[in-house]
Amino acid sequence: MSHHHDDDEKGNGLNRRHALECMIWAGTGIVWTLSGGVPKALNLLSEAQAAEAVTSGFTFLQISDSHIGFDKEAKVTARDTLGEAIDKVKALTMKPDFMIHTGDITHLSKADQFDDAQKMIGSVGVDVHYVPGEHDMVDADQGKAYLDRFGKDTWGQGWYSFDQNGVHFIGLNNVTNLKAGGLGNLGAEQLAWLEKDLANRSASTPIVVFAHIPLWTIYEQWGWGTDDSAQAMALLKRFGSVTVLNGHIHQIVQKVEGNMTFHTARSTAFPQPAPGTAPAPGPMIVPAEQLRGMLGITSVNYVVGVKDLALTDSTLA
Amino acid sequence: MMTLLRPRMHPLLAFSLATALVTLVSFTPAFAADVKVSITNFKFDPEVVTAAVGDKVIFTNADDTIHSVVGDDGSFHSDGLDTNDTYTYTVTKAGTIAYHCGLHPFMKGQIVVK
Repeated sequence: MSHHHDDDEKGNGLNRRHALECMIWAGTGIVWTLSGGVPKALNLLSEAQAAEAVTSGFTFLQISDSHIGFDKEAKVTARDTLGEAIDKVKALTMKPDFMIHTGDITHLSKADQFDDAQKMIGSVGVDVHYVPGEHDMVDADQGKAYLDRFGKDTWGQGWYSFDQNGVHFIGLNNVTNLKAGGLGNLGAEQLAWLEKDLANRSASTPIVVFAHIPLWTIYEQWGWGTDDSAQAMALLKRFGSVTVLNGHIHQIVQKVEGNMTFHTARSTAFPQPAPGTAPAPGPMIVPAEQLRGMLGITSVNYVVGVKDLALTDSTLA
Repeated sequence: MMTLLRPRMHPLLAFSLATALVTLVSFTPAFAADVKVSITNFKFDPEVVTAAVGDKVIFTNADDTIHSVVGDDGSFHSDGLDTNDTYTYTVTKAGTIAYHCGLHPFMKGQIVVK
């Protein structure tokens, strides 16, 4: 159950702070297990209070697939449930340092949908780093609406990187110009940029990569994967700690492979079926009383010296 | 070959050009048809349709989520189509036009133009 590795790259071993963090996390029952089991959904508040006791590191929140404009669920719209998610974030005793949104901000790339989402998510009062989903690029100019808004200070079709407390974050776009019969796609230009972005970084730099479509193949028949993700992973392989955060599939799926941890977040708007359990990956219209248990957000806690980031998924229920 | 034949073919060519012009002006509009494609359960239905130059292919999204229609060669694309939205593609040349959904590229279809 430990999230530590004996071969902790920084060689801290089990010092006092380390032990304390273990206790805190064990106390809240939320450890990222190496066997990759589904983490227990728990009260974000208790996790946040635990995090508060940690004196170093930081916390950020992942919001995904808010699909503002979607209104097919019974009784609530995507706007309502995003509002509930934001209320949860605001109720945290410790504010996250920033948020990331892993795409499908809107349902139809419309200006008023982007406006709504930005206003609601921005009301938390922390920086928000966005990457696009395919729903954010279906305007007449196929992406202009998104890039006009979020493309400032980014490369190519909206990819970028930034650093926070020694952790290197990379936001990718794998939803542009999807090819017939294909999966998500990064493309040669973005991969060349990624190679350059990583080139001079020490292998001990913790890396967080976030993009909309999963960067590993979860279910090819539904397009749940990225055609050229192996090339990106090859570039990331030498790093001691890589966390890959995605959305798109509106459910939690996770995998640990060597130093890489892959995780997909719930949507705040509507659930989708588990791979292969329905004829198509369309929205699941569920009874109103069940819906909030299937929607949620992900909190990520980084502690200096601890190799694996702790991820906590909590529902809106 | 064309150069060699041209003097002999010229009257015929002129005749067929005239015929084509008459056909284009007086007949094509009368035969232009609407070809319907429904987008249902993440499939184009039917996946292959036959059409003639001048026909309109009308796509209607019957799903709970959005789809789009994008030419594989990038020459045309719809906006995102919400439930019950339609997109009309007017056929302008013969051949096979392959297209897919820009959001779910595993969804593929063809317009075979005679």
